[in-house]
Amino acid sequence: MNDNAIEIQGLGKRFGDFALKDVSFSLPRGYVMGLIGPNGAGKTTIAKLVMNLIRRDTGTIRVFGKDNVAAEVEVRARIGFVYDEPCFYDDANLEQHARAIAPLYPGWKQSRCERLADRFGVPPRKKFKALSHGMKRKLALVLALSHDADLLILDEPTSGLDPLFRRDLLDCLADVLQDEGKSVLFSTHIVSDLERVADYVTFLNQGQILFSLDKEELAENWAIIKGDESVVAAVEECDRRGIRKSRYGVEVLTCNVGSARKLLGADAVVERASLEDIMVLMTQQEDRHAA
Amino acid sequence: MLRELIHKDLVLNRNALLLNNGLFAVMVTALAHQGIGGQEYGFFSSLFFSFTAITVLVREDKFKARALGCSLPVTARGIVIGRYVLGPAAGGAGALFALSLPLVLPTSSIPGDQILAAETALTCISTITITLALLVPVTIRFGMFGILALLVGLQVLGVAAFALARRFEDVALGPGHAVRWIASALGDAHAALGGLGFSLATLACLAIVSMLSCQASVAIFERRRTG
Repeated sequence: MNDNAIEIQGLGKRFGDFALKDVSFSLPRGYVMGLIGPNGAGKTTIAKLVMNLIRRDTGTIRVFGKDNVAAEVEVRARIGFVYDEPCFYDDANLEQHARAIAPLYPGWKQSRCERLADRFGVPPRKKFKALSHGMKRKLALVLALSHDADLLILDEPTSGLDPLFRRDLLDCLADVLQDEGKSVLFSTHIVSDLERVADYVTFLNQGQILFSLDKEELAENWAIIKGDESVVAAVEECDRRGIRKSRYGVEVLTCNVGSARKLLGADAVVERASLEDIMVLMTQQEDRHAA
Repeated sequence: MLRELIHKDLVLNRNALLLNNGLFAVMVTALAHQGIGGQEYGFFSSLFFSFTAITVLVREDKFKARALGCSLPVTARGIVIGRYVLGPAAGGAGALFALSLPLVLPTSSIPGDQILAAETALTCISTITITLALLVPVTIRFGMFGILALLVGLQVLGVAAFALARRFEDVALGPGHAVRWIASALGDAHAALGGLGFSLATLACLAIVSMLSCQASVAIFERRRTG
């Protein structure tokens, strides 16, 4: 049995002046991977390529060991997908949507759909257009989870939601994930959402993967070192992942905090790097290189 | 899979289809009292009811719901073929309902023998097939606004053709002559092949037209879906 829910090798796709270049990563079964990056980095493109909603130019995508194009129907039956934009009928409600798509999924469980709707607080008979933005997202999640999918692909499920609703939605999601050990690919640019749910983080910028790592490894080895200009020189160039200068001093993002600590000694001000810090500093560095 | 796809379309478009087809039912009931011939009645009734599949496609475009269909465990070909099955099925059911009206309504002006004639059935089948063969690929490619523009454009063209026909009635290449030429060619074919031969030849042509249209629709759908 293949141990990866998703295996992507050398994936490429070109759209006009945007190109996804040589993307490779894998998501082990039963884990949650956060796909982060600024807007336009290629997160949605990857999600759509995995779903075979757009055609890849190069590379391979295997879902549970099967090619996602050759075994399109079989693969999709095992995936629950939430789009970044609503794609439901305005004048239909949750019940009608569920009744319409249920026969297409071999694993659909109506009792599960009803339980999830109740847990997420989605009114089953309220028309889609009458739901709030957050409720629309929850409706999409209920439908994506009702066929007992082994893999969830959530494309920006929390974008446009206020912090309270976001927290509520993530709590609902975390409950379901904790109980059932599903694999999840969660794309977002709101990185704080991932701090609580992700096991792995893949960072994408301008169509390229900058890293794909275990979150524990990020927490252990990545840090921000604050100080004056001497800090920059003290951190080995190969370990530097980003630099931010301001009138108050310099912040260096390192991927080898142990080595930096040895070099700088007790004088170093070392802070844990949040995913947001990592994304901001690395994006700025990449953009400077690109410029 | 086809049955499930058609079921999906019917459930998600139930109210719109009930409203549209209810309106068409009223229109054909009125038409049954207008003193027109059986074939004309069959043509208009089939035309109305063949819009069921177009309604489904237009609503899918309006709500950007194509993405929903494409994320389901079905192939693009299956989704398109589903519409090519739904269209004739709904159009045929609607035409049967319409054709039954003159037979059961004592006030209808259309004689029963005209309704039961083979030519009327052939007219209905031809109308449904050609309407869907033309409109489904256009709707898939250009969406709701594309099909509206086409239907409005065809009406404008029809009015212009009618005006031109009246103005240049004696010109050999006028639109009226073109229509008469087609009618005469069909009449010649009918005379040459005989009733049964003509019907079989027409059905074969319609099957080819429908298959070509379906192939084109699948290709357009795949292209729009996969970018």
